[in-house]
Amino acid sequence: MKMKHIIVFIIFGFIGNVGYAQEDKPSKLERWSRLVQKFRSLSYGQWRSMSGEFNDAGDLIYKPLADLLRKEETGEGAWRRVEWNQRSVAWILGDVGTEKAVDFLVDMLPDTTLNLWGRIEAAESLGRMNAVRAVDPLLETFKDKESDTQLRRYAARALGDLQCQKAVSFLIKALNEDINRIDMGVIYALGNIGSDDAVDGLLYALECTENYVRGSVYQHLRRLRPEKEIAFLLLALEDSYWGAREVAVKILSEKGEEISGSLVALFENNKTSHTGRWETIRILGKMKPEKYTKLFLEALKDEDRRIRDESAVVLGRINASKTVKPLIGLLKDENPYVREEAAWVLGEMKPEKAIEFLIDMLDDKDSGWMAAISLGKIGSEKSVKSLIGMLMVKEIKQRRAAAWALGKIQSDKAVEPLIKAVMDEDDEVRMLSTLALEMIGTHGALKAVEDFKLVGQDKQIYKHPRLDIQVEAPSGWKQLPRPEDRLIYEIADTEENVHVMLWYTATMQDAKGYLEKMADMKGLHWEGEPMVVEGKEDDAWKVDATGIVWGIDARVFLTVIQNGYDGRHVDHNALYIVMIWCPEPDFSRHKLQMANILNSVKFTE
Amino acid sequence: MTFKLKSMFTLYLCLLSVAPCLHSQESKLRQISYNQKTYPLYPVGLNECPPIPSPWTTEEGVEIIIGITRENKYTLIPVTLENEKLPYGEKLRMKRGEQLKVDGKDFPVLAKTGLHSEIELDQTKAITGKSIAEITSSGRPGGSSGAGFMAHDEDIISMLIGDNRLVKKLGSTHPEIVRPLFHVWNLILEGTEHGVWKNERIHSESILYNHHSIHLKYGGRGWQESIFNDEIQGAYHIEMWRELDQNEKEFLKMKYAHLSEENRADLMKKLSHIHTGEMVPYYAMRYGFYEGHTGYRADPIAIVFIFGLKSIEEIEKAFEGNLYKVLADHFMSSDVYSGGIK
Repeated sequence: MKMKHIIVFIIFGFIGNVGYAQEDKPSKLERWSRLVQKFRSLSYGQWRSMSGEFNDAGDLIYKPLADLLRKEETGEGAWRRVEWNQRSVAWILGDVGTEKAVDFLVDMLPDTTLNLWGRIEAAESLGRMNAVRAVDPLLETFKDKESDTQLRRYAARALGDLQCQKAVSFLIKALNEDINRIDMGVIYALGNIGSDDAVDGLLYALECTENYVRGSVYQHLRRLRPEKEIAFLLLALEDSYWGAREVAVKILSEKGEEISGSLVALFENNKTSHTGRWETIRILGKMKPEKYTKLFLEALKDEDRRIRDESAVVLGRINASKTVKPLIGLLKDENPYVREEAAWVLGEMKPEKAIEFLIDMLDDKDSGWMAAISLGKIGSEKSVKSLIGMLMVKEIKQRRAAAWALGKIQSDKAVEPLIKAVMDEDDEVRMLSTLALEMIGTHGALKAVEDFKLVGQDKQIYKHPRLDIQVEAPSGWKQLPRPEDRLIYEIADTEENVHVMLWYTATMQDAKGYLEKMADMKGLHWEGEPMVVEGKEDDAWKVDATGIVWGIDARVFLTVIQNGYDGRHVDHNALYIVMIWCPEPDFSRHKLQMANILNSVKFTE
Repeated sequence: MTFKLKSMFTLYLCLLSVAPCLHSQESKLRQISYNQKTYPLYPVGLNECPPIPSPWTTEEGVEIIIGITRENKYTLIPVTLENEKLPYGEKLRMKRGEQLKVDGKDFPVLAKTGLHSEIELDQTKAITGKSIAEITSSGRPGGSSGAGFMAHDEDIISMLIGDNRLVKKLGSTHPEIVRPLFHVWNLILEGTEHGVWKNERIHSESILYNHHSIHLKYGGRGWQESIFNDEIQGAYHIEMWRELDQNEKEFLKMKYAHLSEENRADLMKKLSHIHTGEMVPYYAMRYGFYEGHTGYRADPIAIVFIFGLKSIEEIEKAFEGNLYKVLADHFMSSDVYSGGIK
């Protein structure tokens, strides 16, 4: 009986275990399938977040992965989904990391029925999982010139991840194939392997690879042989690739004085390329340039124009009086870019004694424009006449520079020529002349600008209905009702931003005195004394004031003009008041228009 | 009770952290009036399209555009350009910031007129204190970003000159052209503020703009630093496009009959699709920079076309048969400096 029980117990136990196993199997499978599905929903950049989750997958994972690898997709974008599936499989297998996963991935490498990016991902995974057993298949893939270049590139990277010394000679040999895509993989691999042979390979790569590939080569060399970092950086200074040089310039500049001796030696070495010497000047100029003034002054005579050019900039930064004369000498350089740079530098330094030389240079067809700019920066009144002449030359760039410079100098003498230039055929000359006139800011200059702005814009006369006074303003302005005082005539633009008010009073006070009294009564504020209104024969005074008008913070041109005596009171002056105002924040936009309206005030017969 | 207190405290903290992000005037604004009728603002959805122009500026200066949600509801979104100065050293992150700022220190003429002066650009040696060489170096592919802010053969000054000429030829100014891009970016900020993200990596919707239905798709990316010394940062991909109508297609077919089918299709795509990020509107307003011919360029011509700032006939007239070339060619220094847009 006991024996029976034991047997039954064993049998049930066994069955139970079987039952358990049968129930457990699908649930585990389900779990892996779910995990695979979750992985597929992620973007490529998020794959890493599941790193390690497939480590303990065991054999159960292969079935869903094998299914996914061969899954057919239909409809729009099917090929992309197939690619995605296969890449996912390769990545997950890399995470599983077992021998069986390596076999699976190795099989994927040469399988041309698979999508290319699926195979590339397989190569990447083999590298990532450090699958030493995959070295030969990866090397075969890399050596096979019939394989896709991208696949070969990633096979090279994987060999690099595996630090495969055996691959070095093949990697170096591939550099001669002159295929950029492969070169990038080779450089990565050699950089990772890092042996003496690999370093030799990287040095060789400097001779035979494309620009941006070399940028990466220098980076690897510096990392692998830190004791030779400076030497590699100095080497990079002579590279024809700008990007590689820029990195070297940045790093060397940060190192400061400790490497200045090496830089000076490099500059003075006859064997150094022009490019290398030029970059050296750039770096020394960023350190303590005063220390090397002599070197820079010598460099102004260098045969390479970039070196002369850069030295001029550095000397400008030093801004010492002894550098002015040599820089002036450079204004006669044979190269127009050097002359231009020298003129620019002098414009930054602003030495008085450079003015006449810059004026002489205005005739330079190539670089004269920069001389004009520099004269503008210096603010040389002496140059105004020459600059005015330049406004009429044939070259557009010269005319633009002259207009720009005259705006900076702000000389009254330039108003008339600039008014003419406002009609220049080049739109930028027109714009710069207009801005120059605004900057000069005299009555005539501002009127010209306003007139120019109003070209094509209809204007009309607005006459006071009861008084003999009128103004000119753009068409379509409306009259605002002023029932409280029929002598007040008020117009405004359609948006009621700019207001013009005209009215009259008879008083024994003069125009100036009445203006002050009225402005005070209205709570207006202004600085200084009232000003005479230019261009009016009458006794006319104005203030440019701020204050509150109809509850609005306003900018106000308040003007009082005396026009003889009042007809009814012989001892009373006939004073006409013109008040033009707009909200203060809009003033800069309306300033010219307001000034022009004020200028247009006339008495009618 | 403890739980409730905890929850209330957490809610209070959340509100505190959200509050500074809210836009001063607009976030308080919940409705607008148009023709004596009141309409609720985003996120409220409307079943019918309100009879309001899009874009539209209210009397109070609030700029509104009409959006169409994925549920096919219409919604009025406040997208006013703001000029909020950030504290010194703070970078632009999910804020409107200084959207009207123009770099008047380096480009006084741009600040004054909305267009660059070429003579000013020709003499520029640095922008925001950073040398032209440095900006170009970090702006090229592989510099501060893999894709780059300009192509290998472009430099920052040639870009600024090239785009300035495009904008000038279009008879417009940089602030005018860049406004719709800010509207789109402000729409994204509004959406983020109202929590539309909810675990979505990519969000898409449409807006109505000058009678065109414009599709938008946007999503986050890693932070991208600016190539200038400024507070601008990038964190978004933004795509905007619209379908050409029949007349536009026929017009281009007629004007560009000499192009192959493939090139004509490419022309239409270049005109009607933009993939960019939120850095471009700030760059274009501040420096007149729309990024070079990379995957992030917002070509001024495409902006003008997509957002209906000009008709296809007006755009074509500005470039007379060269539209495809102008849209495709890089702004290489040699071409730009020798005058004329290729």
